[in-house]
Amino acid sequence: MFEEDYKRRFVFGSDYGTSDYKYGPITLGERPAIIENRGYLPEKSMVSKILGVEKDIVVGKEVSYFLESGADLSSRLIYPMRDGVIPKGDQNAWRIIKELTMFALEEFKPSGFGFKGFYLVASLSAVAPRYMYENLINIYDSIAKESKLVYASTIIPQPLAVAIAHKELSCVVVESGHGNTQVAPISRAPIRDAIVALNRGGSEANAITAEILKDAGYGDLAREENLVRKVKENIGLLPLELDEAINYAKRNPEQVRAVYQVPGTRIKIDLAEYSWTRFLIGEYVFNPNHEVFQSYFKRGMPRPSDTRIGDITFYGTLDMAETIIRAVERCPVELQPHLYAHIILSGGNFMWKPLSLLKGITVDSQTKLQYMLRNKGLENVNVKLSAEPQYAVWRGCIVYGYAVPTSYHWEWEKMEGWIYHEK
Amino acid sequence: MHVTRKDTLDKIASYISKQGYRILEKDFSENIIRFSNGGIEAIIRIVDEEANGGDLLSAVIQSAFDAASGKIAYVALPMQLLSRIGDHAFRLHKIGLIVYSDQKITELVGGSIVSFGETQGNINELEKIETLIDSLSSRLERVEELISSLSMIDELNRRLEFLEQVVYEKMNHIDIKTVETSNSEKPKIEIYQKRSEQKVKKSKTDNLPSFIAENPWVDLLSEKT
Repeated sequence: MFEEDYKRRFVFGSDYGTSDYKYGPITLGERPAIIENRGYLPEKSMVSKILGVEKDIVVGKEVSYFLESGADLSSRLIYPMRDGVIPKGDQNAWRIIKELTMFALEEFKPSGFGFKGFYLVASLSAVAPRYMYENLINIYDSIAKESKLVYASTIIPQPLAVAIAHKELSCVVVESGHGNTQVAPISRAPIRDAIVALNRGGSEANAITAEILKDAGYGDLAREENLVRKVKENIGLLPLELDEAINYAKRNPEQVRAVYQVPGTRIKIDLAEYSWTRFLIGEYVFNPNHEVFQSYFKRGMPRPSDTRIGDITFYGTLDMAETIIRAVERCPVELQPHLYAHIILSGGNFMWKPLSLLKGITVDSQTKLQYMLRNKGLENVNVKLSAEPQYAVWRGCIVYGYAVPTSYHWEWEKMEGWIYHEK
Repeated sequence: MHVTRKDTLDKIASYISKQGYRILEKDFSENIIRFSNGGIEAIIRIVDEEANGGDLLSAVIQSAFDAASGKIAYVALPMQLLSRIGDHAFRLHKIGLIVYSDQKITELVGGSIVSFGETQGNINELEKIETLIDSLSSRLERVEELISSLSMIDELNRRLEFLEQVVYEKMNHIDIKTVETSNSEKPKIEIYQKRSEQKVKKSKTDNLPSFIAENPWVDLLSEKT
């Protein structure tokens, strides 16, 4: 079978997102299969009781069967990619990644002759250290030996996958997930030396939402992470200009008033006179340096700090526009205008919806970022939000796997190419 | 005229001889005749005219032992005794029965047939087993052939992959050469026309997801060597 015909059937994309694992072969078409990127480490006796089999790790829909198991849930239910980086020694997280991958490959295992294993393309955060690549390759090696489901594999950075999915050869991909934000300039390949990362993601927006709930008298609810996330998604707003938005809110309290009825419960959250704080939630993602946030830091909310993982510094409070500028300015001058002309925002942390009642006061992510970049003197800026950001990385993986020739072997210096696994 | 036990034994032996069998032994004390039937030993146990029920029973039991030890077993009875016991039990238990009178000796139940019948049964069983072994053997051969075909398919697959690799590398080589030649002989625009024609194969995106169609990354990535 010629390589292209084979790859038309057996290229397999694998996107280990922070919350969801998106996976599946090229034959799925436009959208991948999705399961939550998590695993449960049950007590053996309990698994035997519920499933009738011995299992060390439970992934996929079966995890739901265990969610009522009580106090030890948080230690047994593990989201391995929560912060985009799995610690080297976190054996449980790596075991879950292997189990999820096996689960995904088994689901699409073809029958009949001609199948020698998938061409598996996985994607990791742009800031993933080398040991994550090594661990993942070892996992694929082991799967190939055990089940022959992997013929060859490769790993690409998530921003490259996003650029490929959006058909942009030169662009800046800003990927903002739960734990951090990566800004990766790309020109026919990731410009690795130009990547700038923020130690800030959706979890920081959750943190300020929890503080706002406490101030408004809902301190008891602020402890429930899922509820806080829902409040953030439902009442959080992104202002074009924070000071103007706060002034508007004080002049028009009823138009800005934030009320959220928690579905299926009697709980109704009304921020009342604190409703102006809903603008802080979106602003904090883009610029945590505004003086209004100082009072929260003084009262104990942790300030995002600079940290270093591998060779990459994760900045704590750098604003989003400045982060992009720093990344672009590490690239050749000739290339910079092309990069500013194609900025792609991807990830759940950019899903801010403006209110039609507050037109001009609240905006979406691309308008906000374009505004911030123009304020810093950049004119020809074009920011677009990924249309279906949850699928972009998987799509990029599929295109990469389909296009890269099978004769192109992996090289650690380039961090690209196919790794062939012995069976 | 009184017929002695010896007379009866001789008459029956004579009858057997006339049938073409070779007499091996005439034992007057035991009142039995041994003869050979095609290499198989046969024994006739004669029950004489004065015998009582116990003698008859003893002869029959002995014959049953003979049959069990692989010999052809016969019982020879006087005609008047037959009318009392019948021949059904002999047929049922496959023991030969010869009846005699002053005038006549008759083989009512063929001992040889019975004995040969059992052997034939064994032969039939053996034949069945042989047929089964033949069948299993041929099926095994077919499985071996299939396994061998699979190995051939694997081998062909390996060789095909190798050829693909060679063709792919040659194509790349030709592509590079074309570009080099074009560089020296033709305007630059020609080079790019040729390259784009070469990449038509990768641009055939029928039945592929829309995000692959007209994606400039496909051509870019397919050039990686």
